[in-house]
Amino acid sequence: MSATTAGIDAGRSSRTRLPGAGLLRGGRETAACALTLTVTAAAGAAALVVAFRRAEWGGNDQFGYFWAGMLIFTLPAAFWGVRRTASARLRLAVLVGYALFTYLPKLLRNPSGPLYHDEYAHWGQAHDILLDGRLFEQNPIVRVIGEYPGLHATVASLAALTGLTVWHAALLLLITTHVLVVLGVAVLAGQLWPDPRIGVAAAFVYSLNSSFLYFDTQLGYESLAIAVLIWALAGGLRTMRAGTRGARIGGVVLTVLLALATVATHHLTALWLTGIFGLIALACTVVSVRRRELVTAARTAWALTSGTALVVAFWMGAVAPRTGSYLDPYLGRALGQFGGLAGGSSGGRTLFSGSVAPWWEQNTAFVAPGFALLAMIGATVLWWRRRRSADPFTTAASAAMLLVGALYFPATLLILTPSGAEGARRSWAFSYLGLAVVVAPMIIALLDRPRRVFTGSLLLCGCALMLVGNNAAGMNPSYRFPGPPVFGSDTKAATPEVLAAAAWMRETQGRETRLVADRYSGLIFGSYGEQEPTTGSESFPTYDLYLAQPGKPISPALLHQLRSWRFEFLVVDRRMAEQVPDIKIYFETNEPIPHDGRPAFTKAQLAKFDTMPWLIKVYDGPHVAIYRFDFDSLGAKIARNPR
Amino acid sequence: MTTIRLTLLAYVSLGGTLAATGRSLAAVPFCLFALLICGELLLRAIPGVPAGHRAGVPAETGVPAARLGLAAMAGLVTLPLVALALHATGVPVRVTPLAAGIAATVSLAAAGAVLRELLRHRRADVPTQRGPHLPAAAAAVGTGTAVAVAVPVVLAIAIGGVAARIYTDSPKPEQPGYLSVALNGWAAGISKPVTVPRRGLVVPVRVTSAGLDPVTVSLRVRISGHLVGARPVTLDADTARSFTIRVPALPSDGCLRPVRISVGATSAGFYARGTGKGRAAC
Repeated sequence: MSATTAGIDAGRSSRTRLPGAGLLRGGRETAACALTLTVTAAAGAAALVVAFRRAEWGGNDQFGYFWAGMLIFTLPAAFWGVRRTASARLRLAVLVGYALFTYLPKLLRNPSGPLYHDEYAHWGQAHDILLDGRLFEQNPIVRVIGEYPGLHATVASLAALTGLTVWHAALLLLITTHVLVVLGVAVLAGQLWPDPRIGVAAAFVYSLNSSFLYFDTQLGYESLAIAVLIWALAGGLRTMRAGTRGARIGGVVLTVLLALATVATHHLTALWLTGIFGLIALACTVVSVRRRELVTAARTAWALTSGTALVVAFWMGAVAPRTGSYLDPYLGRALGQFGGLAGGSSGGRTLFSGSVAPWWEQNTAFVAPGFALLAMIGATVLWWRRRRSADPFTTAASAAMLLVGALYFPATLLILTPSGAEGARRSWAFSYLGLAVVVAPMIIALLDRPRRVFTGSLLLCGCALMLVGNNAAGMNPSYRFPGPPVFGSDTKAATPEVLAAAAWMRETQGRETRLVADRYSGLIFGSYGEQEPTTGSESFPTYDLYLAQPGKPISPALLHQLRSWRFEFLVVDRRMAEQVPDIKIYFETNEPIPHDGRPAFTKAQLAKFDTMPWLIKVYDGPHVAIYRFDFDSLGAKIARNPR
Repeated sequence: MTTIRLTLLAYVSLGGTLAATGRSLAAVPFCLFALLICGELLLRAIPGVPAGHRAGVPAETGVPAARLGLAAMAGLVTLPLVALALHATGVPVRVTPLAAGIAATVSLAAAGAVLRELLRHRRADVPTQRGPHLPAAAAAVGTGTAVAVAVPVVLAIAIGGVAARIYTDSPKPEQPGYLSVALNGWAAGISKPVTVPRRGLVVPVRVTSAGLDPVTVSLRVRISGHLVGARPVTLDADTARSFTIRVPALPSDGCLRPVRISVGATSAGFYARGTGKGRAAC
């Protein structure tokens, strides 16, 4: 009998022997749990509010308050969740409470409107669907998201049906999906192991990943898609175990429907879903060949993989054919840069360069992958020991999840490359799913050994360390905390001046006019302003307009592109000549602009537009100016005398 | 609960959502409930009710939210799938088509579920009385489960709501103020050089002050860098005022001249030429 099963049986037998006493103890336990978690949640929420207020006023002790607030609730919640004597409903209540509490940091970060880079894009897209009722419109901030309308359609539909604002409908959806993610991981693990504590432990381990608190709680397509992925996997595993043909066919149909919803929402999530199903099918096939078992499960797994792959291939081939060209440069450049680093050349990233995160948070970020590695080694050893005694399907599926979890480690190396960092961070939410599902049985096995108070305390400390470290590695402090205005930060782009300029533009020029802008102005003009900004690209280098020296000609090819694509306005933020952007980007990630710690533009480069007869300065503020293109006046001469 | 009753409940919830349009507090629970029931019906129609727990096989009994969670997810994805179906048929995504789409999904799922239940009962040779019933174990949400979900939700709304209210109501650091000038009225639409008539041209401008103390500044007009008019204007805090400036007649030489309207250090402007088609060298 495994340690895990023994744990369950022990719990059952105690209830059987003393039903009245067990009920009474259960009631007391529930009351104690409710009281503890209510008090700690209130204390934690208070500490979070203090942290955000300190950060808002430019303090530097917000990190301590924040983590104190988080840990004061999460550690007792983990304790109650994996407690052997807890009832199934108490565990459910703990998981729901935990999910809701862990949404609080993001709720406090921006309770009333979009703030993160992608949030502006998705909010604008949902807003446009609500106004026009049309899907698949191109988004000016993130081009590809128009072809993945799942999130925007859901938010706009909720807003239309309930009368909520787009932002409040989005919050309702995001909080629901956050709870579904936590429950889904527990259910997913529950498909493999009978001990419900393993499911709860898996949910807690998954919540340690760097995307859980901030990235997958934002108004972004992954936030919805990852919840669908987790439930599609849970449904898929249930289908593979199904006893009747009818149930298997129905399960495949439902899973393919969920896969369709996933791919209609987010490209990467759909690819991960297909890949994970493929790995499970492969593992089941290996077991079926070697042990003459799981033949039906393997066939079902291949049916799920093929169905999902077909749906994903159809969507990416017929509906969103530009996805490949959108994703490919990130991976290609990241691998190239990683190759360069391995070869000893420069061009890598210095982690936490100029970061305001305290030393202890930075150090935990370096320790967390090591701790995860230890956990994975332990999980692998446990899997190896139990591979013959455990249920064959559990052995096969957990082998596949081990492989998924192992992908976390190569991705941590990609964080050292400028182009790979973003992709590496985004992969952790998926690889941690595998890691959580396979590490959870090891945690419960450790807790079932003697000296469990000591082991439990040690595990809680490890979890706390990983929670802090992963978040420090995965999210910039300017995304996590409010703060004084800073130029060149996505989260601080919405200054009153830029908002007023965008509002003036919408009021006087209407919606959906095409304009050229920097990254930060583009976010506001493209969302609140309801315009269609471009911030440039390799094939459409609009940043050359700003880079051109005064008196020097601007590329005729670029002017031709601007004219033929009916661009009407140019937005100039003169702070580009005064300050270095906080996140070291002026226009886009791969811009050909030097980043040497000094502003990349001179004042003359940005003031030259005032003297060009093909640019009409229609708006001006202390920093932001708006010019209208008048391409017919290109080459016109200006009189030097007024009369 | 029987599929028929669930279906009726879904229609009632959907009707309640439509009836409560504009009153979000009432519409939200109706809408979420309608989606949850729609999801449950989809589960009954497509994979069917699980045959029950088999000994030695892990099941969802450990976390009772398995069925509820899957139903919630199935209901939630109904929204984008209905929206996609509307798009494919050329219907805009609006309240009535959405509600009709969800109602159609509910009807189809209910029909599928009833058919599946009838077939199962026929195979099992179980007499059906007052419509097909599901096994008690497969009931979507028990009272205990509902309480286990509702208690933390209520507590979270209370604690999170108070925390969010305290945070949003707390005093915030002042944002930097600004003074801006913009072409206004017809002038905001200037898209090419303006021809100034012999009597001159009146141009509307808008000056905005936000986050600054009341200030008196000079509103200046320059042509080719030369000052041709100026007057002091007073701007109260957080106000937008409209002014007009007068551009005098320009020489009839056909040459473009920059017209700059400035308030303090900020300026807007356009290019202008006089009437006539002079050929002077510019």
